[in-house]
Amino acid sequence: MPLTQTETWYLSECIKGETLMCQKLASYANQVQDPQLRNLVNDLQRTCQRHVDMLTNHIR
Amino acid sequence: MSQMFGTTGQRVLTDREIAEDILTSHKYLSNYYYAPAILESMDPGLRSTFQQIHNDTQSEAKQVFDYLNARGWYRPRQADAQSVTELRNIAEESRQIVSALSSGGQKFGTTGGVTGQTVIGQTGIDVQTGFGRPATQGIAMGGTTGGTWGGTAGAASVGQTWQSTAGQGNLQAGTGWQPSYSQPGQWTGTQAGEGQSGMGPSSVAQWARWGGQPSWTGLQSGGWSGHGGVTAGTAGAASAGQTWQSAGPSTWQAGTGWQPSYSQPGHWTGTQAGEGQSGMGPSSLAQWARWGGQPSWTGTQSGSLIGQTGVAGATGITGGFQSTGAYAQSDIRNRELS
Repeated sequence: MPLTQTETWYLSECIKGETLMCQKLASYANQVQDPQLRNLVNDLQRTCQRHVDMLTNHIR
Repeated sequence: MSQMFGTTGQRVLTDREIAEDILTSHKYLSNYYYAPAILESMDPGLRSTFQQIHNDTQSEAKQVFDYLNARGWYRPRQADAQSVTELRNIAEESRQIVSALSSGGQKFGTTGGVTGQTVIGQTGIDVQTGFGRPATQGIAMGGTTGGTWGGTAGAASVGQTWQSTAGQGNLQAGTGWQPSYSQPGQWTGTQAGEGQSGMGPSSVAQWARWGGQPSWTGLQSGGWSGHGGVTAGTAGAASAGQTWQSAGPSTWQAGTGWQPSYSQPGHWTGTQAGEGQSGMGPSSLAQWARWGGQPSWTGTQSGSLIGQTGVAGATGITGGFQSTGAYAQSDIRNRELS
């Protein structure tokens, strides 16, 4: 099913949003002092990368 | 909080700031990206993806919140007593409204006493001492000015503010003269609040535009029309530049049109659904007629015309009319159509 204009817009925005989030998390992982927070940030970054993959898979 | 500086002398973010930024980012993604994306997606696979990521995002946000909260960095303020009290009142009011709807609409306004409610019906004027099912075929509200109305949604007079409790107040229908007597059938009133000041065409109008029946036939269902009433109320309140407060409290604004509640044998004035009143979009019924259908009042009896007019008076009050008022209308229609 071809994407609608609205779907395309949201898809692009979400990909950009998740990508920016990944970049921030990667940066934060090197800045945080608390090991607990660092682990959390690393987990979030992995999930974020998975989200980007999920979203980009819809682009044919 | 001590400030940290990097090797370049620039201040770096603290753990708290980093966590707060992550939380804020997750909230933003969830609210402004994924929530609407789900709603706007037609493709099932894409919709499912958005939903999964939305769930992940909310779950992650909770983890970050827990991290902040555990350190005392994020402590939402407790609600004050007044807010809690108001919330309880709203909840109680909503329960009563929903309960009245689910009971088949035999009654409404069970908590709000009605004194001196004037009912315009086929047989003339009747006075209700309660706001149960009207004794006459007609409309149980709004036909007169200054009648006291106590529905579950409460009521307020023009220019007054709703109370949060299921209150009652003076209901003044429209700004125009609205006598409470009745004669057979000319309908000049509005329909279900559609097209009242500031409101665009209602969903009913959409329906008619697609070739359906006039909107009043669609209002046979109490639930459906009730929903429409809420919608109309919201739009009306917004158009008046006034603020809703949750389940109904609002300032009411009367319609601007003259809406006599009497009627004479049937010629259609073309003033349907309040069209021609300030800021209103086209009504459904006018549209329908324009496309070759019959004028909407055709097929209704004189009682309905009167009833409609009465409702028009009530719906002239854009805003808090809500489901109760619409329900009254549908109730009447059910009677006539049955």
